[in-house]
Amino acid sequence: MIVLLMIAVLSCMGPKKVAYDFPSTMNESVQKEYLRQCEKGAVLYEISCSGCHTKKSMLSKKIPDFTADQIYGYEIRRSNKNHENALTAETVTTEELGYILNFLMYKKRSGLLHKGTHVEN
Amino acid sequence: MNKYYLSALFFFIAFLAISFKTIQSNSYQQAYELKINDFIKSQSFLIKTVQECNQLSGTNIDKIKQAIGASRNKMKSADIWLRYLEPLAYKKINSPLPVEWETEVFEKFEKPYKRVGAGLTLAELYLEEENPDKDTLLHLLTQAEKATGSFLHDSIVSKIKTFDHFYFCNRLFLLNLASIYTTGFECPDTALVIPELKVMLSEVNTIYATYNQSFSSQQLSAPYMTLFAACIQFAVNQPERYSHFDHFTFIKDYVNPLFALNQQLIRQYGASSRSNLDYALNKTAASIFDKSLYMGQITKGIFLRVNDEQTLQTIDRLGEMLFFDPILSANNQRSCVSCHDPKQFFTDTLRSTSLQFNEKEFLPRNSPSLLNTPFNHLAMLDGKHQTLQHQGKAVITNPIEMGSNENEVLEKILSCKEYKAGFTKLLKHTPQEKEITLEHIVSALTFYYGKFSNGTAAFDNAMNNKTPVNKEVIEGFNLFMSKSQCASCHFVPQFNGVKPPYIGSEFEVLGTPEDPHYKSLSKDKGRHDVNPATETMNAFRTGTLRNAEKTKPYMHNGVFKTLDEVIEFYNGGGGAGRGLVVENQTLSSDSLRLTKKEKIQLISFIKSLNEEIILEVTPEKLPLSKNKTFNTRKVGGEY
Repeated sequence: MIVLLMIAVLSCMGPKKVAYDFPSTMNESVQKEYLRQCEKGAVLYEISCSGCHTKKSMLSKKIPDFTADQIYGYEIRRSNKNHENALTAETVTTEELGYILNFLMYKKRSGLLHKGTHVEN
Repeated sequence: MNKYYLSALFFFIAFLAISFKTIQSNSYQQAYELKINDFIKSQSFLIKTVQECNQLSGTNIDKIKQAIGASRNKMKSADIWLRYLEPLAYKKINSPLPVEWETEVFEKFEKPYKRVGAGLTLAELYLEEENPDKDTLLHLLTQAEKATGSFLHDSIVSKIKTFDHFYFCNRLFLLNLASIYTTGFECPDTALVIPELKVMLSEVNTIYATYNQSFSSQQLSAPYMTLFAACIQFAVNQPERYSHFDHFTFIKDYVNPLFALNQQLIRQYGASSRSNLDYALNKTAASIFDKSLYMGQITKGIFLRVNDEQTLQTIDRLGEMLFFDPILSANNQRSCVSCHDPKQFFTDTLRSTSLQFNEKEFLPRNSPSLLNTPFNHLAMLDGKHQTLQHQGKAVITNPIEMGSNENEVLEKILSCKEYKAGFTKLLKHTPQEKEITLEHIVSALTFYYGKFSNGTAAFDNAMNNKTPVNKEVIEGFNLFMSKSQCASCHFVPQFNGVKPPYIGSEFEVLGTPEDPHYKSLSKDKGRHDVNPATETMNAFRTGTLRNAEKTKPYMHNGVFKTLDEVIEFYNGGGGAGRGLVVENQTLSSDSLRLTKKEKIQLISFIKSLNEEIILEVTPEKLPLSKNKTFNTRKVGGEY
């Protein structure tokens, strides 16, 4: 009962605010702009990517750490069969894709390495 | 003991089956490698021929041209693969221009980049120049030979081993059959257009046969093969001259139905593409003349993920009111309608260029119709904007157009209760945005006017076998595709500068004059303002010919008032043909030698591209603002 209650409370808390690791050399105004984009990217990631790429359990959601090679750019739209249909310009605009990639680039590492193309739940 | 015999027999049969299958699955790959090697051999021979010539003149040139012709046939035999599998290499094999500045949809947020062309077409054109130099010619040819070699690299050959690529190669091939292969695009000797087409069709037929043998589970269907055989027969029976070829019937009765069957097979077999070339194309479009063929712009903008009909209606209604609302301008007197009047096919047909914000001067460029703008990858005549939403924002904030700014316009719009309530309700569909932004405003606008681009023209209906068009239109189209050289810039099916696979917008230098008497060249630098380069000086994005009859005046500066004047301009070889100095003109400066009858036929065809546009009733009133001074504004603005 207590466990169930805890789960209910935890799930009501909603997504945690994501922290970012910007390079210390990045100047403040640039960092501010990146933060603005990353925050949009975080929401858009949740809408368009998390269904396949976020590791979900009863208690937590973990966004995996992508390597630079995995988030190289617009080619990501066609990097696998799912993306061919799910990551089109009609589901995620070019501008939005940029926000998502920035988000994945600068979000604090979660320790969960992204292997292959999808995270197995 | 029997058991051992049985097992041995089983393994032997299994071995045979596997071996047989291996042989079978290799026949397509073998055909591929054979055709690429044949093409390389023909190029080696061509290079050797050039090397053996002491000088490039007289019979030597004839010999070289003959070798180029032979090599072109080998290229055409493999064209179905070459264009699709490695488009960058193809630019070295058969580029139409020495330098192209590319801005493809995949690189929307990158700057245009330069691609230096090489290959057979450029080599042939080079031979026409005065005193051609052997080394330059050899350079064009050796680059092509090297680029062809790259098609034998493992990374490309591995694609040949699975069935998926085939249907996408074939789709591009069919689209090119409809739009470039019969028009003389990338074929300097127009006498060879149809002979080369015949070679290509017959070679593709053999490719189909090996493919069907190797991929028995994903074969081209019997109806496809039958129709393709009929298509070959049709082409074989056609005259050799491209101006006598029946382009209309070829596309309507053969290419387009083959395209529909290929699309069906893509879906049936679940073919998957990893290629950027398929980025804009839609797997569900059943006709080349269906507006859903490719996607150029997302008219929904920030609301792209909204699919619910009721919400879309809300966006549309907000967009409609905004479109007629002069609150978007600094003085509350100009609206989108001021330059893009729905009653004038969403353009301003009354002036060469529309009035500026100051109501005294005129804008530097002609207002384009908003119809069919969603089928361009770049907006504006100079391709300055990547999206229609960027373009909308730029107009609102341009001091000589609407003269407003982002904060001011948002504040004014949101001072109207109806707008504020409407957009606030929509915010839940854009959770990445915490508040209403100008992006929401312009997205409602583009969604509203974008829907008027779904209209079909009489020509589309004829191509889709719904209602026929008359003989004059058909003859006009056949001219359009051949002698009058229109189709090598205005590509089927949108008749704009977007050619298969519809991922980029092309620009051309026509030598448009400042005045209709050709006294001087237009001073507008066009694309050069966005991407300064020798080739982009005075270049403009090729517009659509759809609704051309209804969207006068013409050219970037509205210099011509009638279609007759436009046809005369092209017939005379553009600006350069009229004696203006246009060193980088991409249009031939030779006369097209069109007869009076032919000009009439061409115009009849262009008129068949008028679309049926269902206009809506103009809003009677605009949303009331808290600020009463705004409430005297007029629907549609004052000028």
